[in-house]
Amino acid sequence: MRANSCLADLQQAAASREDLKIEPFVLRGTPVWIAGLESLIQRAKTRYELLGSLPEISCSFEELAARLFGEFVPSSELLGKLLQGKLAVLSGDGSRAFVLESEPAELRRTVDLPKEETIVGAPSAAFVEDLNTNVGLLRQTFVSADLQVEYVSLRGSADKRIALVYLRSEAPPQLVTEIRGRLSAPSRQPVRSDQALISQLTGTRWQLISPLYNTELPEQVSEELLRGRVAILMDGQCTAAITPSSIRNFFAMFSDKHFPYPLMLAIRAVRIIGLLVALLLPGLYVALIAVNPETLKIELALSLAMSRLDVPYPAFIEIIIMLFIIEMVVEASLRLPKSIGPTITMVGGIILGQAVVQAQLVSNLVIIVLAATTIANFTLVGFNNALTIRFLKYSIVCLSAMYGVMGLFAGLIGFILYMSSIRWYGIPFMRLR
Amino acid sequence: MIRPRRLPSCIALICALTVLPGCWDIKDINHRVLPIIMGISYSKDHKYKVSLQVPVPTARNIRILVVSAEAATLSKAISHLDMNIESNLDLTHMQLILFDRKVAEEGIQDEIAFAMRTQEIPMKALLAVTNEDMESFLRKTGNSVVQNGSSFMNFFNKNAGWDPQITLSALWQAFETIHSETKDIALPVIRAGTSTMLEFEGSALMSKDRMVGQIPPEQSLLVNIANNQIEDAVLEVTKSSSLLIVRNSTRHRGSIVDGRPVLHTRMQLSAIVKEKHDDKSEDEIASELTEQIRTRYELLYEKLLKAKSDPTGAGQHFRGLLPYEELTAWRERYYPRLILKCDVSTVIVNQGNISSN
Repeated sequence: MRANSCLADLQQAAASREDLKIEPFVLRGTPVWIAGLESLIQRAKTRYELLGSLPEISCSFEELAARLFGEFVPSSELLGKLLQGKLAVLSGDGSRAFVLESEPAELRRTVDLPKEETIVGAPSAAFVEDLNTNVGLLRQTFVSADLQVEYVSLRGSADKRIALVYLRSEAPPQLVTEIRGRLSAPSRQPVRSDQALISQLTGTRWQLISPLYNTELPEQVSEELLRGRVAILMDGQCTAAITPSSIRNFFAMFSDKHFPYPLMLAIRAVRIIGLLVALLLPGLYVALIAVNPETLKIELALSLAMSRLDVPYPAFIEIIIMLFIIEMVVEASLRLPKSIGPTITMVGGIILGQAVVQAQLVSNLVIIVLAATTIANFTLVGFNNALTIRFLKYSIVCLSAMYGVMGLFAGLIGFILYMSSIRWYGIPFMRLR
Repeated sequence: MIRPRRLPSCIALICALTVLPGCWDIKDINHRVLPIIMGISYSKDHKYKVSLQVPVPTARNIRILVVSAEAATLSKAISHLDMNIESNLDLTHMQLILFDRKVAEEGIQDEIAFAMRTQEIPMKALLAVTNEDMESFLRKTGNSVVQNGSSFMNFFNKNAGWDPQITLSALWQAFETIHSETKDIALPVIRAGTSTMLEFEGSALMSKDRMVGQIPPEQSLLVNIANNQIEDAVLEVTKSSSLLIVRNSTRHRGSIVDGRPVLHTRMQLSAIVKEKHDDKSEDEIASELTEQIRTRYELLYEKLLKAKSDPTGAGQHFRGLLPYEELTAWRERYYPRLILKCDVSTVIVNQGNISSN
């Protein structure tokens, strides 16, 4: 009934998508229409390559499709294919169409150094935004027929492409089935971010600890795959999300294994101490200054009292104010242009820190505590994990302000209990494997 | 896992937490005054006089404040002081409780009981006795504290300036021995030094809660040796040599012979020869030291038995030998009749730095 339905549909679609170009063309004696999004395709190059890949004999439309490895698609799917950056060739009457790969526009970054996880003495290719490149990087890092790649189709047009990568011999089949099932379940919101992915995977948005461990290092992913985990790669994200995460991810990295074993243990010990310091130090300060000064040695007690002599605020308020300022400095410097970063560090760190002590708004010990806390916080592996600890230290500070040293330890035990209660897909978070 | 519908109850719980712990009146460390020495003496009208030595931090250094109050009871005196001091009086850093000799002689049971009941004074606070006027003592020693905040601790600290002659007794030990029939403590008797901060005069012999006598430093050293409290080398001078006792192990064993308690004490000393004047062999030097220590120890014991004071804890070794009812009579009936069998042996461990003559 509608002989030129493909062409008509496309033309209708092009009315509101002006980057969709449909133009007549003659391919080896056959008049065709070529359609593609000029924003995704290099048109001139594509045309040239199209001609170059065909022998100089006249071909029918079917022959063209066969020689160009074209894939016939119904009219309804045509637009979707074009949006993925493919080129459509329509027959002269516009009734049939096939799509083929085309020369993509240069929208993609090449494989680059890691931006967030710089590592010493290790391969330094990092994931980029393109899913295929990322899967390719993994294939290159882990050359094995065992490496399984599944593309999961999520419902809803706004979802991104997702690849599940795992090792058939290592990943428990029920874990893969579970994750696949949860991913393909209908979602409340479009899965475009980690947050949506987490709520899709766990059914809750209220966990403080993420079931995903994000890394931009293919090397790290292959290590985790060997431990039987599943990597979720999402198109447009330059990190791989490894799930289920474990407490190990707070302080262990694969690149540690480039060092001798005792040194690796030492590095990890530093991170574990860093976790404790970042979590407990501000709370310990408040507990010792405000609630339990009797636990200090007299010399220390007196010098602490000296340093706090003219400070008007109670220790709790004092440390909360300074913690907030530090949070703001960290938050501000995250998105600052590289050229302004050092300025903020200077203003925030040196000038503000020094001035606030000289103005006797806070004691100089608070500055030391804050510096130690902030530095310790970033010894942790993974920005997510560091964030969790950054957040939880406030609850410890509050508990310490109320109950002193007892509150501090109650908070620590509570934190441990909380972590122990977490199970991802039936696998406990607190495991060292 | 926090679920959204539990959120209101969580918030309510957290709000309750802020009110319930009873810590809303906590004071920061700079709003507390932390006295380090409490002196207890009697004033003229036989009321207590409590003096506190308080280090007050100022912007540059520490100033020492000595405050005193007189009252019928200790707690009244303390609360009187608390009222007059601008910050909150916090006894949790008390290092030393100093008794005037008269107080010690009349018995310190009430004072110790008070210190225990405050629940603020740490159990490990040390006790001492002084003959001097309390306030002037605190003022004089305060000057040393200004120069070095930890000088008090150093004097008594085994890792710093402690010497083996100085007997150490903490509050908890005093409380324990006051309520024990078979054990006593020896309190150090100190006075403010002329050039140094403190001078050690000897040890006060306590019989239960009462001071009954005093022994000189040489004898308090023996008390410490008998209690295996030597952790430092100590110099002993005999007729012909100077010896450094570097190790010591003392064992006691009690037995009852014909109704009289017999205490077998075995001391094993290891010494280094530091100096010798005559041409004596090591064996002779060792036997000299052995003899000297034994004679002195026996002399000390005579004194202890007479005073009915038991700082070496001799009675402890008879607890299993006497029925419980008899133990209450230990101090009166048995201890004065105790026979000491002391066996000292000395080993010269190496030749050290011998000055040749």
